[in-house]
Amino acid sequence: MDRDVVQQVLTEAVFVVLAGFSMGTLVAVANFADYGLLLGLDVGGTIIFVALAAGIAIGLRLRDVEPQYLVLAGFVGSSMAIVIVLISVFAPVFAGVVPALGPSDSARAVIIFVSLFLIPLHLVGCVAGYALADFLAPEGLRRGRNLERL
Amino acid sequence: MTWFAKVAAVFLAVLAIVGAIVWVNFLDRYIAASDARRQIGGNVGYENVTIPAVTSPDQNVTVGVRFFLRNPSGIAIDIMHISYRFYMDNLTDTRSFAEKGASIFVVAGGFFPPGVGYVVGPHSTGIVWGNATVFGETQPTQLARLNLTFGGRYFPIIDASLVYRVHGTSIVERVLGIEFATSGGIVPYGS
Repeated sequence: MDRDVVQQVLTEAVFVVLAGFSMGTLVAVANFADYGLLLGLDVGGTIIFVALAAGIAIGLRLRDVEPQYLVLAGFVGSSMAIVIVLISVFAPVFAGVVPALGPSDSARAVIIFVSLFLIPLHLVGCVAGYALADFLAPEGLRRGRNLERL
Repeated sequence: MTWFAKVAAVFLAVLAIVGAIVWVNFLDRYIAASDARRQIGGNVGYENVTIPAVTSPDQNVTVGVRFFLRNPSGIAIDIMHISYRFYMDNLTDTRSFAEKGASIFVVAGGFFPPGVGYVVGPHSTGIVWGNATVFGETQPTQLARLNLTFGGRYFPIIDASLVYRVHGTSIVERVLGIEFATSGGIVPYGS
């Protein structure tokens, strides 16, 4: 494989990881607002804003790739975010300070469930960003359908 | 690279940095708070109980109960209040505590700090006095119950509860059943 292609794939992979990381961390912090001193976030607003904004950013960056890779990147990013939410929920167990979490299983289930909404929202954001990139691109670089030719 | 790809890259980087900062802060507090909530029940107790000698039927008697709270966690704990019910055991009454509790109850007391509470820092111990007063003039029955000694010693029973907040959070917890009983008795203070 061409070295430039590999470099570009790795670069974009880093940004997909950054998107997943930022979504996961901010959604986790929003869900545990009781513990936060630095930032008080609304859960619903955070999920919608972060998933869409990160998705649009990824869509803007992946303007040159085939759409299926965009969707794949969206899935990878949002899946990574959900893994970070899971790690956050069970952090005291992983840290070894408690053998098992307390009795509020339903609260944890709700946190994990609402984080699943990141997947569709992030994909919508990716597609919107992809379309926006095509709209913002200079005339000669647009990749959309040529309606005049049809 | 187009200008909007650069903007997107900067946006993602900033979002990730902000996320990392607040996440690390949250994880630190969440883990420390979980540690505190698990351990606090076994780290609160009594250091001392002082009961003055009763010398007259209209005396005002202030019972002093000194509590300790060890905070083994890495996050501060705010004592919001410690409240207790003070009983004086009647050793001649062989009924269970549940049955005779109402007849040996003396007074309620506690430690009620003003404001946000009494802060016990991480990995430190807080010691507080919780007082209760029996006014002999208006509470003769309670004073009579209090002034019950066997072999010149008091045999108090205290049932306390602690309400605390994990510092800087809105997590408030209660520890019930912090019990004090003595088999050797307590020598009246100032006798």
